[in-house]
Amino acid sequence: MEPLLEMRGIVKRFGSATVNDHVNLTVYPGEVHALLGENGAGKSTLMNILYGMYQPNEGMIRVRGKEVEITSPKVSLAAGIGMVHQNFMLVDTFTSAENVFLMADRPFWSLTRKGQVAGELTKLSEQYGIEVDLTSPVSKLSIGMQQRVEILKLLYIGADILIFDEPTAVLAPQECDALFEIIKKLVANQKSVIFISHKLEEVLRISDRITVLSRGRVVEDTANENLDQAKIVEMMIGEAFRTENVEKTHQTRQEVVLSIEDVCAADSRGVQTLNHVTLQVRRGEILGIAGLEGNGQDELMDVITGLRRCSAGRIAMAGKNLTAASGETFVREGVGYVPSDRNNVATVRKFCLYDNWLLRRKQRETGHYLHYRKIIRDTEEAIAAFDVRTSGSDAVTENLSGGNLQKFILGRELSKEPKLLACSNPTRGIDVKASWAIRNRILQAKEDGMAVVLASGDFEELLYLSDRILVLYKGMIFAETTPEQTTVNQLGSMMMGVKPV
Amino acid sequence: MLSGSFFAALLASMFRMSTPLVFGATGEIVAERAGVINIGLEGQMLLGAFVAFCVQFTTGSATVGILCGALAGAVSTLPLTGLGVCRRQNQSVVGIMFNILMVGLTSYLYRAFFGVALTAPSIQTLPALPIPLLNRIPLLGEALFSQNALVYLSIFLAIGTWFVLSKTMLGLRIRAVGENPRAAQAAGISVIRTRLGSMCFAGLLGGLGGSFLTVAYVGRFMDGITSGRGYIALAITILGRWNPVVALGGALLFGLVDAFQLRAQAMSVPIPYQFFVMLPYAVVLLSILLMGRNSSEPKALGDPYEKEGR
Repeated sequence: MEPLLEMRGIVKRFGSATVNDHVNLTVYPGEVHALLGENGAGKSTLMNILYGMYQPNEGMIRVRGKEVEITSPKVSLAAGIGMVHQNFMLVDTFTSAENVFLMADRPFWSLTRKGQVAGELTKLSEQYGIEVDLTSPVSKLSIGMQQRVEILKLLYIGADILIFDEPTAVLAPQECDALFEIIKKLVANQKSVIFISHKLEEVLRISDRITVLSRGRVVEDTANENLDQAKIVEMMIGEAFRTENVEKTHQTRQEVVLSIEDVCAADSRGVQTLNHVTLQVRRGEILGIAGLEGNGQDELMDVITGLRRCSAGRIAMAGKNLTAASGETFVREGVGYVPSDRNNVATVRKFCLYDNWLLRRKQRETGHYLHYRKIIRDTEEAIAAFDVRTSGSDAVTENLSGGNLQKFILGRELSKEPKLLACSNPTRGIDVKASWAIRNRILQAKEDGMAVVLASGDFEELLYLSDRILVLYKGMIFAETTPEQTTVNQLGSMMMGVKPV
Repeated sequence: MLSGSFFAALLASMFRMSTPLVFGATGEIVAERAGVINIGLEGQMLLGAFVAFCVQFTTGSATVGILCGALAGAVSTLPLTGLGVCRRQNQSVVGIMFNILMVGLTSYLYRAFFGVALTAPSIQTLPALPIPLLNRIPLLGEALFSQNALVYLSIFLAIGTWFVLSKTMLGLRIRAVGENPRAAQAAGISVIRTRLGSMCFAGLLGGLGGSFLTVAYVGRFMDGITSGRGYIALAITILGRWNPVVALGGALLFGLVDAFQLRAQAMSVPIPYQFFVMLPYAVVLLSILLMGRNSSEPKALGDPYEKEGR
């Protein structure tokens, strides 16, 4: 069979760093081709080249046997290549139909006939089993629905090669299943799918072929036969990998660290997204918070770390009332926070590491004059202790890969020996090895007697780490359960407001 | 005082007063919908006013004068787009610098061309072009349908721009570029080219608005003849929620208050005339204040878009 897409000898350099080093990739029609690799292995760069966002320094791309020079996304689209980006490329204020129509290659003077477009889209969505609300603004749609709009966009313009960049990172398990159904229908219609994911179990489930990248090179290109997770991880990091798990005990101690009562809060639009939540966290306990995006978990995490004022209710840390306290007071009272946005909330991207080390620190500890020699020493100790791979404490933060930055942030927060550690999606978008390092650190913190609140969209992680799980739905505690009592699927149902039978 | 003819004259004056603002705001809306904040509108209007005056003075043709004024406005946006969009400099600062430059440049060129004469050189203003039949409608006939061609053109352009922005492929693309340039680029739209085109359109209309002042209203050129109308058009853009038809209403409101204050000055009221002059500006400020923050502002407004970001 003739390949649909061939990338040959692709080289891309950013400054002195070679991010893609003579990469080959061949995709056949009707196959799901998984692209794997740790953070910084060069997957995103390769896909951005294929999509015309970056230009390669060397190499060539053939589509259906014909060489094409992809100089812009437009050329790429015309060649039948489309990408479902991780951060959806949708105009929030437009409806689904308008977003799809934006892709249409029509003369600029033509009218946007909404009825006609809606008809065509309904036909497409029936063919591929993609249900989409066509008339509401995209910002009002669920994440899963927005993703389907992205897929529909590409099908509308007749793309044959669809790139999915970590499509399941933001989805609930049921939504994932629905997505996989759609992908199966796509390949059944002789479309090709390039599937990028960190979740190996999904990759094994959905893909026909697997290409593994490491440090910008292809290290493996194999059919999905007789493979298991351990083998893939070995290919990715070039060594056998064992998860050296910290012994997990369920010895929660008695002292309550954080106690919130009847707390309400509004999100940045002013809409109340957290409704009368009451919870307690004890020493040595990991409390998992499950919820689909936009059901109040972001606001909850912000409220318990002092980044957001609650509009009603009481918050107390170790018996001390912090209801209207400033963010700095929360830090002083021993609250550590690993927010989900590590690039903008947790750190200042343009600062070097030792400057970021100073953030979220008590004034009393640093003083008014900064003793940089000591600060740099502390930073370097943490870099070593937490295995942060970087050129040094003077490296600019935005140059760190996601996993290394997250390890640094966790190290910074733990260095303050907090009483409460709040983690929001600590391993989102982070490769296997770094993820396990972070999870083990969180378990260690619990063993050391910290109270931990963990909000995560990764169910396996929630079930593995938590002692107790609260499910948030529409800003309220919908259910409380433990990892022993529940499964991934039950958790998914509860997050969508369905009580398990 | 409140006779029918007073009222018709007031409304007629309202349309004339608001015309440069309708032009300016309509153009500005297109630029801002594409995500570029064109602070240089004041400068484009001033340049348009000057060029239109000079060309009509030398050629004797109002049409050629207006065309050249509009063209000058359009061309003058190129350095602004070059700096503010392609080179990603701060669009507001670039715009303000441009405005200051235009004040100096037009004053200098005016003296260079005409010297300092005792009687300022003047041109014939654009004749009224009553629309048959429609001009017989009571009140409205006299107020709206007996105006000059530029007044009609401004209203037509405002409505036409609304149509293009909300109903056509071009409008959809312009709005997408101003809301989410990355998504627009992913859809195969050239962000830079769209912004370049939108800025040119804004300059073209700014130039037309300026031309109106010299060619159709005053018949002469004076230093700083625009007297802040470009900035008022910026305010009306916000007041009109980036919708040309609503902005048309906003411009008319300003025109009405302006027309009223001119008449009020002439009446012997024991209030210093400066307060009357302030009135239209105060009304626009107040209406923006009362409207509050609104969500129709293009999300990527003023946002320097970088293509190969990493």
